[in-house]
Amino acid sequence: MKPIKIAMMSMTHGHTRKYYQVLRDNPKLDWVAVSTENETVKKNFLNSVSGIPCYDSPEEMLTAHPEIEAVVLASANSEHLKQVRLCAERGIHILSMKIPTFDMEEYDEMIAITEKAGVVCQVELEMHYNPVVMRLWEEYASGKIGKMKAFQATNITLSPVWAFPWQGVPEESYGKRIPLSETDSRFRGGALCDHPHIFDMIRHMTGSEFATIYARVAPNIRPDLEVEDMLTVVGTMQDGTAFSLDPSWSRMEERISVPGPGWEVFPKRMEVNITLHGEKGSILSDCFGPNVYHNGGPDDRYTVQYTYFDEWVGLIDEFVECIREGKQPKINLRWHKKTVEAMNACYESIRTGKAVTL
Amino acid sequence: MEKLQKGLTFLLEKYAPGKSAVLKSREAVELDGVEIPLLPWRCQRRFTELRDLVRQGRLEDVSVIRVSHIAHRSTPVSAILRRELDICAFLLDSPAKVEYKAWGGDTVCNMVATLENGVVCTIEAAATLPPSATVIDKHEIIARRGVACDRAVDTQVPLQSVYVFTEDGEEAYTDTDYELYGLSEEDAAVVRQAFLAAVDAEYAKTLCTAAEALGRADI
Repeated sequence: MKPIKIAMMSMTHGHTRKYYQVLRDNPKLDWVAVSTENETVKKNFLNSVSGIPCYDSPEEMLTAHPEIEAVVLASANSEHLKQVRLCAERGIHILSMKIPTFDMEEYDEMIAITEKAGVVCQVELEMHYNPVVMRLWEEYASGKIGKMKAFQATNITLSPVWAFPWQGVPEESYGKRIPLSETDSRFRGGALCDHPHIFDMIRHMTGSEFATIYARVAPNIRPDLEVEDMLTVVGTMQDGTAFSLDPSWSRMEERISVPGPGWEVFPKRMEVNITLHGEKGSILSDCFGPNVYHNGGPDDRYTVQYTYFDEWVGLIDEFVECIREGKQPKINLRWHKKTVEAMNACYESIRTGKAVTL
Repeated sequence: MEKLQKGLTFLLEKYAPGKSAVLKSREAVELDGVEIPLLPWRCQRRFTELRDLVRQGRLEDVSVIRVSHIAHRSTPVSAILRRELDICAFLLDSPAKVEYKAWGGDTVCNMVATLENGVVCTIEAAATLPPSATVIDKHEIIARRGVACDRAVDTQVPLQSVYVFTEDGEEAYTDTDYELYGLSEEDAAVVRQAFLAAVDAEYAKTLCTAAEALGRADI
């Protein structure tokens, strides 16, 4: 099987660096080019990776490399529709970042143009390829704890906005400048927009859809951000499962422009813990732990050094398989739409102060 | 061994088509008719990350490595000492030498070793656990700047990723390797190392050298 000619666009997404190794290591891929959003991003990329041609715009890259078969859209949410159009009209397969768009009309357009073009459009929800999640799913599916009664999960991280500024700009993250409520001067586009995974995972684990959602924002722990950084979400699924989700940026960070050692202030910069309560028992899981720990340089703070980083291997394997064998990815645009709708319902609940029925 | 060989074959087919390797045991892989010794703990992620912390200069001027390892009663203490002596050498990239051993019967041994770079290692080995217990080990690197450890502060037993609580009791699981899902951490490390040896002749040579050094150690 010939390797797939793959490229990356923009390089401004927080997950961009996660692809460097897997695009190089996977023998089924031939990484041919990238396009960067601006000079700073270009410089950062060239400092990290050598031997990959780097262009100043996606159009320039696609013109120079008509052989490109697939693209990773490593861009701000506000760029996705434009880039999906660019790719689809050339028959290029797409790996979208975790939020294709929060605008449901744009979302439907993405579905329509990718389906019309007959290209694969996989959404990057890498938790599906996490070995702890695989174990959690296997244990639950075995029936040991019986039918699920409750799903509780954290998807908490530091705030990436200092390294990836678009994540703090409402128009680029949420797609529009919409106040959280009449009485709250902050805008949609913060921590919630960064953390779809647990909204997706509960749908995967229960096989059910959201019924009611109540979300509440808390005072920002970063008062200078104009988007939310702390919130909590509770509600029920259609099958009766009660849930509690924490998608906050509750782990403080150093405000550095390029992620690296010393980024985290709290020892563990990213956590996804999922607890399932069933009729016959409970399962607790830490999807990124245990790890190793140290208090060395650069800041001499107690810090988690992660030993979990396989998610992108599985994600890319599935993408390649879907392209070559004409399959539909597990996390495709149609599947993911209800997750995005649920996240929008969180913002609606925050706006009204009431639970939203879906 | 069948599951391990299946994992190895999967990796070879994916990343190095045309290469072949046969796992003879958890201690050896056969490459082109030659047996290469395996020291699989070197491929456990916690040890590669600890080693990277030293290599990347996050820890500065290492003084001591402290190791404790409590295994099942059926485990030979010499096997624990061999593994842990090699882990010390691996973490600091420096050959290890046994200096002194204090035995407590035939199930416990406290050993002092030194690395060529001056680091002093304490290895406390015991084979006292009942078969139902989970093996307990801990590796701590203490430096002028920083301490690194594979166990979290305030814990005495290893954490796991998943805990299941039912009427039948408690179960726990740790899975770190997506491609080798279903294998234990230890078994995944065997497969990863056999794979590395199969695709990198220099790496295979390093394993032979390290195994020879361990063979000469006074364990």
